[in-house]
Amino acid sequence: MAIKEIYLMRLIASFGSFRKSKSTILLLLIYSLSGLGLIPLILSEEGTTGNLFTQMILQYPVLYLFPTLFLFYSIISQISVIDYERDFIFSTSVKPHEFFYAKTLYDLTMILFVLFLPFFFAFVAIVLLLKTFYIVFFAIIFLVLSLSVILENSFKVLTIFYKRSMVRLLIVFVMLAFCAPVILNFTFGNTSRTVNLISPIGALQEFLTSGANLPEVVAPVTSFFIWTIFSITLFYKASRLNFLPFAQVVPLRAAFDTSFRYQVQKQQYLLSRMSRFSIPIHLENAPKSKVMFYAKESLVRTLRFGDIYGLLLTLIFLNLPYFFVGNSNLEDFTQAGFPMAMFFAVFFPIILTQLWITEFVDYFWIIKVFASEIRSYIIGMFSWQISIFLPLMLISQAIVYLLTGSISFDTILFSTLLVIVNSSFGVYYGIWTVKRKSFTPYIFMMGMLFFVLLSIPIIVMNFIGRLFVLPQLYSVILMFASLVYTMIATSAFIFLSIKMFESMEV
Amino acid sequence: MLGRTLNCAIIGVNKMLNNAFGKYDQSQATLYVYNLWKAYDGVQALNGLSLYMNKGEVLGLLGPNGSGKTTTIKIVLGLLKKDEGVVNVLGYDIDKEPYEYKRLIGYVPESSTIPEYLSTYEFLYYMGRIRDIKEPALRSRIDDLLSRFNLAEKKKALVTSLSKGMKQKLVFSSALLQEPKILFLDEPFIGIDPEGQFELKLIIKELVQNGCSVLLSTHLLDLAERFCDRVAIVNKGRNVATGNLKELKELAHLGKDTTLEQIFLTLTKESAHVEASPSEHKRRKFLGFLNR
Repeated sequence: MAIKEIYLMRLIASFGSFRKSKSTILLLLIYSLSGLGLIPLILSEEGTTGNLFTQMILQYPVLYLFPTLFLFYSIISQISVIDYERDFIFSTSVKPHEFFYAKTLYDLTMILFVLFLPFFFAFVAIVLLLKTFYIVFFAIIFLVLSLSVILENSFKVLTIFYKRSMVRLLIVFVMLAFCAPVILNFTFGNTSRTVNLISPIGALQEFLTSGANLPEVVAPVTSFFIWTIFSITLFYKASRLNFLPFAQVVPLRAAFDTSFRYQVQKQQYLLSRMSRFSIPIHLENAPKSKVMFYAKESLVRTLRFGDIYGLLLTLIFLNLPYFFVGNSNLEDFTQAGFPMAMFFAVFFPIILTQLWITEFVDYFWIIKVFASEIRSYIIGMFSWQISIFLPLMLISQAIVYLLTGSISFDTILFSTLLVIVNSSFGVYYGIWTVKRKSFTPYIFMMGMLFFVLLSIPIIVMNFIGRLFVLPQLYSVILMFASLVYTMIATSAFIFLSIKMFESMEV
Repeated sequence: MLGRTLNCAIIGVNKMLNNAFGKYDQSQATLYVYNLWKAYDGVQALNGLSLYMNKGEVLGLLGPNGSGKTTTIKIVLGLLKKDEGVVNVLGYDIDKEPYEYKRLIGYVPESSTIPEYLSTYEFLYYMGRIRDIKEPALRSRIDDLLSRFNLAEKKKALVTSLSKGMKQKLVFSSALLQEPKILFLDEPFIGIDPEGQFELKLIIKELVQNGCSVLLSTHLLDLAERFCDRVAIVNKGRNVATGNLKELKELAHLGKDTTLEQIFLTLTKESAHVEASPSEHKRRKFLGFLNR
């Protein structure tokens, strides 16, 4: 049986980048520690945020979101393999079911990895503080996700061999069953316990809230057991089919792998998938201005690689809390408008810069050889970043306004300045990265650090205005100081970017 | 004894090069490279390489992998910084006027790395706009080139969907957007089928007849022998011999029926033993450090 070998090979390929540099270990540590942010939310059960967290996981559809996404993914995608597997494993006598078991085991491991690491410290803290409720809760999440992964992989294989429309219909039924409590509770106002038992997630929620009362435990456990049997039957059926010749080759999703080869593979894959859904903006009708021409070219790239969808999804994800507290007038969340905008203005430029570099690194030779001057290109890149961030930032503020009925023009103004400073630094940081020819996580973290440091003056000036009740004149002075800082920083970074680009070797 | 013989041979090569530079006519030369040095992280890529190219001439840059062919072209194009040396393209000193000459050249890189997210038409439009070609002229030029290279049907297709040969044709088209005075081709025929190669060669010949100079970097000896007016054999970052087939045969002291392959092997073997002196290396290292 080659299951162990295939599985281990995937693990080595996925986590191989840890061997490359110490900085990846540091990044892993930061990722692990990110779960600590959950502890205050969980422990402050009596406070508003604690309540909100409990509501989000127990009463709102967040818990249903991810398993359903897995199932939906089985409709829109095929069973996938990594290129080396197709070349070196499929050409041997490995049987399809061996590969299928190894792949599913690997997918489950990755889920455990993604879930376990950030929550590790949270787990420790919770165990120490005896909040056993959440330990069971995390275990339940893992069980539900495991079930979803098993079903996702099975459906992907079954789609190849059985009538596609029928399998898709079955997937839709399963998705509806998974979400039945949410749909019935929120659409029809049906809040009966029996409804929860239709879904494995609902059954586990019932189990969680039933305590140690034996008669109440039987029904949810039976429901979950039936779901498990159903999933395993499908899984066994799928494993007996020879799906290997139909598998789709995808780039390896290696953890923290920033290697050039991986990035190129990923970009090509994204382009082949995402360009079909792209908004039809073409370069042929580009503006006459050279700066705007470069900006538009980058906009076309952002659209065709699907980056814009990623950014929009992140935006929606960041704004999810507002959806949950919509009309409850929780001041914490209206107050959170500025930190959210701040996080957005710092976090998005680095993502966009990274995408620009990985997508364009191969093509800098064109600008170096043929551009009649570099200034237009640099300002074009700066304008492109602004043209992406500013609308996104305004959308974010509009969501806050629509859901909470409160908006701060100060927040919009300061966030705009943050966006301008960070966009100019983004251009400089991008060219610096290409010049160094280094795409390690260390460089990424350094970039993040500088994005934060550059934002501090504007953030501080904004906070002074918020914390103290200042006369109008002082507020104007603070605003003016922020404006001057923005202008100086932006001019400096554009100038430095031009100089660096000219001395860059490609 | 062998060492002395080799040294004599190299002195002969250098003499020949000096003679070549003595004969070189500035009014005819479109490219002049003299004493070019370049090191990457302490590894010497170019060791004082010199060459020149005349108007309407195909000069083959022939050498084994890692001999410095691509580095030379990249320095001429401004993609790499030289440590030392003089580069003059179409009368422009690339240090003093780094942008002007670029309007007059075309370049086909070693691997066709072109933006895969653009369509065929968009890519040519992008290249034209970067090179400041004005609107109506650019569009009609793009249409001409697309039909000439049989890419008109793929006008709206994304570059990523094109075959390797088609991509190479597209890069060729972009190099011809402005009717170049010098065309730099770095291993241009790799991955192209014989029919495609034939078409491209015809186009290059036509360009040369119209006075365009072509610097063709290759390690395909057959191609260099049949296609180039003169060949510069490069090894270990030096130009070990330049001339037409007849001159190279004389230089290598080989008979009439000798092929370029034999000449190439003889000359590269001889030059492989000659390195820059330790003191020269130290000097370069120090200069490299200062440049950094």
